[in-house]
Amino acid sequence: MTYRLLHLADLHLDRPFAQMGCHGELARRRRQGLREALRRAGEAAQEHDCDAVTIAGDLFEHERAGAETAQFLVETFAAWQPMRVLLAPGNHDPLVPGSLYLRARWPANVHLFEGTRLEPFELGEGLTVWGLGHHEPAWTGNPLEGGLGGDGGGRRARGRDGVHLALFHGAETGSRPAGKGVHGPFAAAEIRERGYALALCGHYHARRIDLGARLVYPGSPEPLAFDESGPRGPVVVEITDRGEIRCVGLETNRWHAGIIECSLDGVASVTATVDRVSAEVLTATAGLPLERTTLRVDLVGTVPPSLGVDLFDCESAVRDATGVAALRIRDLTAPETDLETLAQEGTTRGAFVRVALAELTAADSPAVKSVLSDALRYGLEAFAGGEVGLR
Amino acid sequence: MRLERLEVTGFGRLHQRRFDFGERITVVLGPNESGKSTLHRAIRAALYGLEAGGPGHPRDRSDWARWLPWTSGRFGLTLTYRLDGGRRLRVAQTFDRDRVQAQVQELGGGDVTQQFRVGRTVCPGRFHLGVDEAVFCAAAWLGEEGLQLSSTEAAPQQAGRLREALERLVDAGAEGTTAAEATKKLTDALQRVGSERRVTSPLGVAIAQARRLEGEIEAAERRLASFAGEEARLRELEEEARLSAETAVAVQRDWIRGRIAQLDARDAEIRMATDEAAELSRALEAEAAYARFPAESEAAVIALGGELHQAARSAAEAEARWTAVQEPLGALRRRRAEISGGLQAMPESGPIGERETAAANALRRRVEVSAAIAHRDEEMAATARGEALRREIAVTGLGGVDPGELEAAVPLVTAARTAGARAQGAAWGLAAVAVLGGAATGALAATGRHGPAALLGAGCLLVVAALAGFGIFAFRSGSRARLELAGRLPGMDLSPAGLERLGAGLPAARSLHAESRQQATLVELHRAEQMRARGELEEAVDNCLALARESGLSAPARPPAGCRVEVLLETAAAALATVDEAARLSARRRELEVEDARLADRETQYAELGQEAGRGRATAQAVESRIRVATASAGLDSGLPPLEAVAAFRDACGHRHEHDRLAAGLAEARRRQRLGGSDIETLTRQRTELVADLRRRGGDPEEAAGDVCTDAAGLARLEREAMAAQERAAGAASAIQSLGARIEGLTGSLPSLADLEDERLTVTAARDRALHQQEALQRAIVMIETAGRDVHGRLAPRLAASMSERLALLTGDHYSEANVDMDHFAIALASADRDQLVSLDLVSHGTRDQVALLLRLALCEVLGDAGESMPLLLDEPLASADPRRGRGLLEFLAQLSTTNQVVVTTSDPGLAATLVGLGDPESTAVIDLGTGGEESSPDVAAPEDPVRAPTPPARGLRGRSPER
Repeated sequence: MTYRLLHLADLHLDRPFAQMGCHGELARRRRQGLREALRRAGEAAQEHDCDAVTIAGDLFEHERAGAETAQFLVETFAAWQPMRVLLAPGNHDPLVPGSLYLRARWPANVHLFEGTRLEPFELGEGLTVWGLGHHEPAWTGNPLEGGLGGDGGGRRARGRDGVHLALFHGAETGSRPAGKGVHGPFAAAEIRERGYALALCGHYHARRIDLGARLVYPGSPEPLAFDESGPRGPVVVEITDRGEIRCVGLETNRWHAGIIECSLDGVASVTATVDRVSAEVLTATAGLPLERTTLRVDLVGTVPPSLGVDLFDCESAVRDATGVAALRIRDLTAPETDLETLAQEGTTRGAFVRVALAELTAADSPAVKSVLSDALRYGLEAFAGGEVGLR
Repeated sequence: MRLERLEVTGFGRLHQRRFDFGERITVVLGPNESGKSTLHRAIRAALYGLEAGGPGHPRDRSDWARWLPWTSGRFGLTLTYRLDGGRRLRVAQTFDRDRVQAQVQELGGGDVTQQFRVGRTVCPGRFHLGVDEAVFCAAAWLGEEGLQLSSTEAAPQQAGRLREALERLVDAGAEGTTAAEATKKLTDALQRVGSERRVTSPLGVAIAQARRLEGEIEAAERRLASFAGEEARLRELEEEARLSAETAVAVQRDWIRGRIAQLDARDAEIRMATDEAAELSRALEAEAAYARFPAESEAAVIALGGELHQAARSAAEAEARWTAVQEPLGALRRRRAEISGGLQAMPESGPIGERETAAANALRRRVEVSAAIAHRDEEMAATARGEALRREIAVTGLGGVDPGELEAAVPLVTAARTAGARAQGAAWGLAAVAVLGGAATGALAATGRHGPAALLGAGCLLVVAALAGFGIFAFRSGSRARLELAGRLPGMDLSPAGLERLGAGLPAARSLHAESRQQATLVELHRAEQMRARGELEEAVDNCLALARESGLSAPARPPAGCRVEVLLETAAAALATVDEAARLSARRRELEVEDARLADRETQYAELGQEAGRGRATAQAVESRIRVATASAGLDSGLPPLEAVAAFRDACGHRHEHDRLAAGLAEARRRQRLGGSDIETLTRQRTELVADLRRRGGDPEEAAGDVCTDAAGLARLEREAMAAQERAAGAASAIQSLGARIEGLTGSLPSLADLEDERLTVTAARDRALHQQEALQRAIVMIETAGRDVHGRLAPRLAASMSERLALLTGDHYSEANVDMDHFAIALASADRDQLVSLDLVSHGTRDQVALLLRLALCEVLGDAGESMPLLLDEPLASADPRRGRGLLEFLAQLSTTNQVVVTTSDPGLAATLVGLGDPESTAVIDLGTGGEESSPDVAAPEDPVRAPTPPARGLRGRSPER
């Protein structure tokens, strides 16, 4: 018999979006978008005639998710019956006291993996899904320890035939993105060693379908950060009666995110800056629904000292000019003037540059460096006689 | 620095031209658009290069595009100049589109281009003059507005403009603004950021909102926690309801199972009671004969039987005891007869008691003591010892001497013995002295020493005389002692030998005499003691005799006085023996009497045993009689022995009891039958209904009901428990309903933490950004103020000094010194005519112009620090000046040219002529661009070879080319 599963993870219901420049109504729309993403996942599962939906953690954010979210999940999952829903809590929705997982009255088609070690759940004849749940927000145990091929359960499982899948929230150590937390670390090679046909994982927000390593990260169904660009969605996993596995990534996201660079070389005024950025934004978002697109623009290049760009005003102006839903601008430009040359001046400006550079060199914390760097920029803009643009 | 020649290949409107500069003054004359300013710009381009665009700055908007040659051809120029130290250099700049390059050649030396390169630009002016292009432009490249202050402005405005221009130059060069203005802009930016106190400012708003949101989030978290608590309470209630319902059902099942078991038991009971009644009826019939047997007398009969048994046993025992004492009773009676005979045979006497016996014993001990003393032989021993001592004294030869005389003789014997020895010694000494003295005297005399001989002889005579006197005295003393001894001890040998013996025997005689006296004393003492003991003995004998008589005994006669002690002792012993015998007989009588009394008691006891045996027999007979009466009345055979009759009675009573028990059992069985109430059929129907009910409640009727209560109390308890569980379940269900409704109502109105947190993140980000901006702006302000104070404080005195050097020269010693304020470079001059400094707005226009120019030169020097004199490029400096001020300024320039080369452009030939006239003709040149300026010189260096030998200069109309 051929089984089909729809695998998703890292939905992060009730996530704040302020860091993406979304607040107020827009942030609420984004959160609503996450719920819609879950509904669309269910619809996709039903369209693909899936036997179960597997969710590998970070379904919601424990600190913010409330009764309404629990109600939404219960109703949504109940609507999917008789399709099974297998839940494996992650580090953002751990099974701590007061967790929604423990408060909600789940419908009968929902199975929650509550153990801290992989436990079997016989999804169908010849197909066993092994799952676990994080019980703390910073669990660093190996999720593949125990379970199939491990102590106890492993011996029992060795006697079983069929296909064994692992479902958990964990960090594959060989492909961990920079800055990503190490929760439930494991090595991809262990999946095969332990005897799993496939590990259905969550944690990394970028999709990774690696049948060679027997590893699937579906990624977040909707972009949760600026760097989560491109098509996104759950993954349909098909297990044939001969044990063959096929995975197809769906593209169901309704929201888009991205990071673009905009060079301000040759720009001498705030208006020109806004025009340049707006043009770049429109180019980058061509074909995308601007009302559901969030962007970060990194300003680069060299600018004259007299160009004092107020980033907040610039963001507002570009949003107005382009219609993009949310926009954050980072000023990574460098002053056109050679600071070393300026520092050699006998003028007050030269002395100011020397003092600022000396303090920058002596500063040992990034925060202080940032303040001093901005102070230098502000000072040069002031000496240039133009308006000081707040960064 | 002195500019010598400029060769233009192509630069703006100038094309293939060469210009030679005067050593001190060069006047560039020409109408408008003739290229005067282009010439100045070309000099600047030679010294600092030409900005040709770059990142963010398109080339077509750059200086390079502006100064492209009007005519086609190469774009470049060559400047030859001489430094104050004498070095001559030529810089060739090529600005072609495809080829921008520069080269600096030291004339008479090599290529020194690299010494003047900054990045891709070669700018020798920066190195020679020590100032960048902006400062050069601001200080040395002056138009009219830079040199001559507007005459239409009032003096304070002019001074202010000068001060501001100077401050701007010092603070940021020509293109910037002053530090004060920069600080002002930063302060404006700070105002835009705002502060926490300004609640309407962005920062104030952000902080206030952040605080508000903190509170709202805290309240929302509390509310959500409360909601979660209510949810948990709902779960608990649901669990409680579930458990209560389960408990109720379980208890109900137990009750039904118990009830079924109860019905089963009742069914079994009814069946068993029926069977039992039938069986009991049958047994009762068998015992019917005993139905009227007087079982009520059973206890009495049994008691009689027991009494009879007891009485028979007691009688038998008493009989046995009586039989057993027959023999000892006979012996006892015989002994009593013997005792009676013995007592009768004893003589009659008074009773001798213990007192008399004790007195006899005391007297006996007293007699013995006294007899012992009386018989003591110590007196004899002492007497014998005295005799022995007298014999020993006699042996000493002094037996006849009175002991008193012996004591007196002792010193006399000693004196007689000592005097003899002394006399003998003196005689021997006298003889020896006489012999030896005589011999010595003779010897001395023989040797003729008569003097010593005489002295010796006299000495010897004196010694002999002394010895002779001593011997005589000793002899006489011995004689007196012997005479006295002879009187005291007559007959004693008093010769020296006798004296010696006497001396030896005297101590022993004295000792023996002393001992003899002691023995005599002892004899007297013993004698007195024996006399006293005899008296006591006699008294004791009398007492013994008295005791015998007092006891009624016949006592012996009192012995005569003075009889021997032995007689006394025999008398006392006889008297005491009489007493002792009487005491012994008295004791024996008492023993026999006591024994007889004891035997009499025992005989009495034996007699009682006989009586007891008789009484036992009588009692048994009485009981037997009563038993016979009782058994006979119950219809038993009266011929049976009493105990058998009793046993038969008991057996009959057993049957009667069995009959009664069976009858009671039958009644009970019939009662139980009646108690069942229902018939078997009814019970079966009820059971069927209960089984169905149990099945409905999920119970299994086949399950063993071992632990289920089946009694009424247990079932009632189960019933109560079931009811209580149902009530609990109902209560929980009610609470669930109300709490569920409340939770459902609250669910839609709960705050969204995500919304609040989004808002908070936004606000805190705005706040943090504003705080960051505030800090950065404040740091910038502080750094600029610090830098400004430092630079101003350092430059102001140097500017003043630089200006002062030239001031006296230019003002004809009218002003000798300049003062520059450190804060804003306000300038004041020290005048020889005034005590106080004169503010710049109080000096004349001409002086102010001069000061302005001097100030710029000073600034070049101070900022430059290179030590090279700065050429002044003045572009139409007097275009709008009135003739008087223009003349004054020209004179000033002429004087200034002694230290700084001046290149002046003008379209006024008169002004050019005036300047040439003021200057040294040898060091002044005029370049006339109006005539022939358009012509190009074919000898100007080609771009491919920017440095080459100079070509003849363009000649002016009224000037001479400077000498080389």
